Amino acid sequence: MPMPFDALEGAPDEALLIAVANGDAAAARALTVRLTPRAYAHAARLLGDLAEAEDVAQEAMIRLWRIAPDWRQGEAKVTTWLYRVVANLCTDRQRKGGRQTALDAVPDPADGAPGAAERLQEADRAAALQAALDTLPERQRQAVVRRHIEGLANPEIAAVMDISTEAVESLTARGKRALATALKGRKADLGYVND
Amino acid sequence: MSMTEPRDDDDAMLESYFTAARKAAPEPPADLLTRVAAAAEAGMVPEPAPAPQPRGLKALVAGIGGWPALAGLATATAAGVYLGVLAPQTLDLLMLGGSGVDLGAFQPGYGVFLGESG
Repeated sequence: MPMPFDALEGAPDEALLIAVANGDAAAARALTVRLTPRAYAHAARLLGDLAEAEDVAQEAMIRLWRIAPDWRQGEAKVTTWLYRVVANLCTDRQRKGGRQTALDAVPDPADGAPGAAERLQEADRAAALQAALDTLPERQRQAVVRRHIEGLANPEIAAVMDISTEAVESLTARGKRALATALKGRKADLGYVND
Repeated sequence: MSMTEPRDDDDAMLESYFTAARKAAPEPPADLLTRVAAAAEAGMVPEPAPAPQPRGLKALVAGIGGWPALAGLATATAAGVYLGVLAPQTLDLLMLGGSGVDLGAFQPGYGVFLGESG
């Protein structure tokens, strides 16, 4: 039986996934809107390439649909599973062909955001951070992106990466040191006089 | 503070970059969402189509309960017709074998209302 429309928005990911397995098209659309942007943004940050990120996000979501009928409730969070699949797909792509094009198209902030100069500076910072992230070892990049950009808690990152929380903390600390070193050279160029 | 830990000003600088990256989250193209949703629906098992409704004689037979029920109904009808065709006195004959008992004696009368006994 399809899930009531007003129940979709607040429903847990797992409940929606089970509804998808039962043929609920509305639940599939709700889960698509909720998770595809996360898969896409995560892949973009790990790969530094929007076109590749699009392919990875699509493949990850299709895999999610495929495993929906066999999903075992309560064993793992859907997002944990998704982040892991996205990371694995990104790793496969990097091993096969390496990066093809740099992530150079940083979307403009929405209207109502700071003025043009400040927006440009923000976009510059985002692009500079992405360039610095691209130089990090893969595991450090994954840990830093998840912890400091996507806001995951250390235990969830540990579950995604199948390592201890201490190992996550170590990876993020090393990653941040490397990022700070890489970004300091650009600090004056970007006008961080108040930072 | 350990020399291996990022300094506070490094943390502040990095946080400004992280904030910028959060604001500049890449948005997925709309057609990506369309493709993903379509893939989900394509993999779904469609609801079974309702069985075609029988029409005409088949609908009548199905409404009664199928051919076995119809056979039982036909037998009951034939028995009713047979009993109806027979004259009442033949029924007396069949039931009592000419014993001389009048069936009317078993029929309820008005005596009970008139205070008769027996």
